[in-house]
Amino acid sequence: MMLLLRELKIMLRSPAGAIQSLMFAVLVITLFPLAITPDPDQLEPLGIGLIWVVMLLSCLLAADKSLASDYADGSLEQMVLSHYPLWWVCLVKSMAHWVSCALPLLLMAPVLGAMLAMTSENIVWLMASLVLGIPDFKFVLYLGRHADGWIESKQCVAANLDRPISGANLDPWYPVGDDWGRGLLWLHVGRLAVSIACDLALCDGHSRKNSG
Amino acid sequence: MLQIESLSCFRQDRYLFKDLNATALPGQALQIVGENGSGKTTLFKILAGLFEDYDGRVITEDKAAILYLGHRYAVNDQLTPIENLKFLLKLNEIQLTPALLTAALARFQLSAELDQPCSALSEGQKKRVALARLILTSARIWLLDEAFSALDAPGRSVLSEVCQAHLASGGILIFSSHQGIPEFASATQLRLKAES
Repeated sequence: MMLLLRELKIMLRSPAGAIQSLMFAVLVITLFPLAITPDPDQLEPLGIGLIWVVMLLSCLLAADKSLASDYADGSLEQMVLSHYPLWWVCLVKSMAHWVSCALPLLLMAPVLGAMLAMTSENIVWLMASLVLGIPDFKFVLYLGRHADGWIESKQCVAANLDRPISGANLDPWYPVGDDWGRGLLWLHVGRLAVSIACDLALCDGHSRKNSG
Repeated sequence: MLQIESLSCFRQDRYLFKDLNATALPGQALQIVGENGSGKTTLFKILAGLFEDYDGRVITEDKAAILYLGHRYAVNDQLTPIENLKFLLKLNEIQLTPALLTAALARFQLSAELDQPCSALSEGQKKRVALARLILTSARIWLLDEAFSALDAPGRSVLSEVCQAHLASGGILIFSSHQGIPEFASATQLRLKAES
């Protein structure tokens, strides 16, 4: 709890990252009707996929900030040396990042969906898929290797690009997406797999650190 | 006790140091001496458990008894000195009353800056925030990498007093400094010399 409160306090006092993410998402989605077509029939099928990709990129914008500042000022070293396991530190950081960056994006999703002429029913599925899927980004973004470890979050993006595809499968216009329950299930499976992989990697790094 | 046995570190096609041996017993100070780039910070990170790529052994009775203060002070600019100090101590499961935190910061002449974010402090003042941990920690082995730099004379004097009190209570002090510290002139020296 102490770590979570610290993260939230820091993010509240320097909200630039969260605001930047939000503004990015709004601007990009606003541009699509202007740049492609305002025709609802053409925009609607693209809606979920576009919003997923924008969410991924928005999360990336702010993901490095808390880790980078903690790495630069030495706080990350002290966290690694503390009695807290690394996976716990990463989990708490990802939760704080979720609250400060992903939650505003999630709340903005209905507006973004409306801009892309999505129906209210599809907006509900979109939000359900984002609630399940966005934590995937967080876990992967916070995957670190070991004590001196720079968190190579951007290298993990490629491994994470299947999430927008799973999310887009909720879109009823996709041939395999007529079963939204199956899409949500795959998101669950993806999240569990990513979480377990991150935990294993972090625990391995932590145990190697302590074996000296 | 902290013991270094045949410690070697190979980085970037050369040995930073090779076959280091040293022992620090309770109440003893060990000064790491070497030029810039000789591997002092790497040695500190190895002793703290932050760097694993080495040969040899580092033997300590309890790794949790180590406190490491490096070049980076672990002081977040958005938090106040009290919030930073509280967080750093809680990382090691030390919970203290605000009065004790304030007293520790006051010892390092930080009474007037308690409510300011650390972004408003100078480098020397940020370092003092980090050093205030030393007064409140229960760690028995202190690893201080260039802790005496960036401090003015009163700050160095307080740090020196705190370190001497630590040694008098049976603690171990391992430090590096490019400045001469008269109070620790008699400390055992471990000299790092780059090997080809």
